[in-house]
Amino acid sequence: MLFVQQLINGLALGAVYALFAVGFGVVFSTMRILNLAQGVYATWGAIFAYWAVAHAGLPFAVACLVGTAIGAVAAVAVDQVAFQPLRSRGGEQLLGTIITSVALWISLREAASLATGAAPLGFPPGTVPGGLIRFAGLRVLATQVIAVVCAIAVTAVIHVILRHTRLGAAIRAVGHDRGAAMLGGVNPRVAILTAAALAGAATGLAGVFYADGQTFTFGLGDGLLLQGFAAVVIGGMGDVRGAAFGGFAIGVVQVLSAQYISNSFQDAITFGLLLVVLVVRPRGLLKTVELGRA
Amino acid sequence: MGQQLTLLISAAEFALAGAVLALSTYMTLWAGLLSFATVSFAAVGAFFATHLMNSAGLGLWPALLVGGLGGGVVAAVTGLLLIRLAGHWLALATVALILVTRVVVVNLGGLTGGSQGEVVPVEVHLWQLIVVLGVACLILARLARSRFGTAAVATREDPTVAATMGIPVRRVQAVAFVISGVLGGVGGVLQAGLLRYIDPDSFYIDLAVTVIACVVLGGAYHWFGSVIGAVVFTGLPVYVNQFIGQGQAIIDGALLLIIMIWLPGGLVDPLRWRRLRDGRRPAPTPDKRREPAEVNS
Amino acid sequence: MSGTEALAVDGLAKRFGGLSVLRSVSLTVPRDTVFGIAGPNGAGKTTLLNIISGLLPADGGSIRLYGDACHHLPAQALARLGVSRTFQNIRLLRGLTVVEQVLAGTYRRRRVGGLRGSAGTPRARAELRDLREQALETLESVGLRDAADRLAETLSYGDQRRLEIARALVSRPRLLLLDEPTAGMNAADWTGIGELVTGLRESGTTIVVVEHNMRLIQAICDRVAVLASGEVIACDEPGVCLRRPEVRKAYFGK
Repeated sequence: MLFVQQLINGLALGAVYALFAVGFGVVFSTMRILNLAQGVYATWGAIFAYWAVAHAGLPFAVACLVGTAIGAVAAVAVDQVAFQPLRSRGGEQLLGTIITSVALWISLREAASLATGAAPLGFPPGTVPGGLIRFAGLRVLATQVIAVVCAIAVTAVIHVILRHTRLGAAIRAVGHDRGAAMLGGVNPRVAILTAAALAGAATGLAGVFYADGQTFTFGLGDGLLLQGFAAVVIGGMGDVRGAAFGGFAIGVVQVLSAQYISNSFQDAITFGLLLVVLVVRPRGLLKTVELGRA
Repeated sequence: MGQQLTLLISAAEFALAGAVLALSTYMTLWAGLLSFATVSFAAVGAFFATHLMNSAGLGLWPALLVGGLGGGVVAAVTGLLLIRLAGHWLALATVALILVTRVVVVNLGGLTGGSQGEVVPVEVHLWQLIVVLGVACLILARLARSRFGTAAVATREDPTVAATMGIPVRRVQAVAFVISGVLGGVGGVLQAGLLRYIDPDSFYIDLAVTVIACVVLGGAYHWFGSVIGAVVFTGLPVYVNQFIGQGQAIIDGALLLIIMIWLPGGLVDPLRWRRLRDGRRPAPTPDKRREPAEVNS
Repeated sequence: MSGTEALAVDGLAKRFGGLSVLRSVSLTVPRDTVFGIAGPNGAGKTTLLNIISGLLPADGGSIRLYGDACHHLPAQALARLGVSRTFQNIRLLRGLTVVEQVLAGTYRRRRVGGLRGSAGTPRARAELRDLREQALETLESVGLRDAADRLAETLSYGDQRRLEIARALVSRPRLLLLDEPTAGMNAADWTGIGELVTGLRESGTTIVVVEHNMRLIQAICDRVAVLASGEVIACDEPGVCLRRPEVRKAYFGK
């Protein structure tokens, strides 16, 4: 019974990672940007959601929307400030975008530190849905259910947008060949901004869920970035469903290893798994012959 | 006045140690590998050497030797596994390597002091840093003019063409990775000697970010760029911090962003100088830079 | 039998997914000749060149270089055996000057490597000086010596082609592969390339040239193979080849 209980807890934690990983994966696979600023979207989403609840007295559901919107806005802003200037230069900009994403990461992180006075924040008691579902001796928090449902729903929505709409086709094409994206009749800029906004929205929501059960600080996004990064790599980047799976998997592995092995091995197992996957799993990871039209 | 001098010396010391780490990252970029593994090599060098300083009473010079060796061995092993990964996957894998290294450091309490960290018994002085960096620069300057230097540039710019010129692309990258490991290990020992106390967080993502920023900021197309970048990006903050205080990171970030957008080649950019010298913009070729392409070997 | 053949390709096949790009291509290139490979777009010419130079593995068939089987070797090993090539879309190395590009092409001829090379010993310096001299001579032969210290990217299109050929030549190849050396050139430029190739043959280099330009092929090639849909449909002297009805059909659709 304890096992099932912890499995549920793991899935709930994994839902947060999944939301983050979906956003990270969308940006990485379509734009080939290793966006280290992604974590701060979550931080700012959580901070605004906190303000909405604690200062503006808004209900939690609205706070979630606020966090989501802030994530999207932050992502679009970062894209325009940090990535667009490099993109317009053309060519492969992997290194350049890593550096500019770092620039925005440390700036926005410091801004978050100043905005919160570097103090820990926590949603005031009673503002987060506190319902407890008891079922066959298991205790499931309402927020856990909400997180899992949201993670699955967001993944499904983004998956459908990417795979089954013309806009989605353009987003996928934009990463490979901007010319082809033009031919589809969709403005590549619209496609890029949509992808950034979707990624940011999912990340902002992840931040809210990550923050709602505990106190958090401006460093919230950093932890999420590492776990989400691991989730994306383990689950695979080409498909948002893979990224979501990776997120859930890591959540479960973390909770179970903390329960049954040792707290201190939690990260060892996650990151060890990460490295093994990167080294061993050949599909999609290995170099391919690329000759252009040599 | 005395206090200003102390601060200045401290800034210079961190800049010099940072420069050695930046050169380690430069080594891999030179051969077309985007790797963050320098921090892992530094961690290995630092903890390995510190352990021996504490247990066997090693002095600084043997410690540097041991650290460089440790970093080099780890680089050789991880390089075997990682170099075959394509461009952005290698970047991801080396980020993962940093995360794993920290976990290992935390869990090898007997050797590393675990999450408590450990005290570094040997102090590093400015002149020693200058000597080490000087030797490192000398080696890189020599390498740049050697057969390896040519091969590395060709590998970075176009591995397919490099292969058709008879350059063993993988081997060149492996050699670059191992040299990066040695430099990283040495840099780690220096860093440890400056910090005088190291724990798992001394060699983590933030150091990786600083190091790669130094290289790109300084200029990733010449080894000297890494040195300049380290002075600007690790040395300057130590000194300037006293005037700014809060919000320092915002300024760092803005600086980094501005340089990347306006000076994409960094502060030391031989290509820009050459273009200026030739007084002509490149012929308007549709510059479709290929992906870090690869060759079947 | 290997006495006179520089290159012998036998039954070479290559498919990309379900698409058969080359089906059983066979041809032999005698020593010290210029051998043309012609054919319409998509005939498999560049693929053939990529396989011969080791950039792509073949799915079947064999390649012999001066009698030695070499179809399993990667590009860098073939380069060491004396295969050198240019690319259809010019691939110069960014940021290098004209003479540095050519010096990069001397890689496999540099003997002083590793520690000795890095230590800057007199031998290493002498070698570098020697190779630089040879690079300049090679540039002279393609008419680019005066541009030696310019950034390669500032050269005109035609000169960039010449530079790429110089880079391939400086390694003193036993087999030089040129992939559409006159693509995108004006008449003045391509006749210049033609003269260059003819001169090379006279100095004893075996050359395989993929080319669209029939007038150039007639001017410079000793033999030409015409590819269509991944098969050799004709292989003969250029004048004879081009009069063949199947060649005219492949080219002009009649």
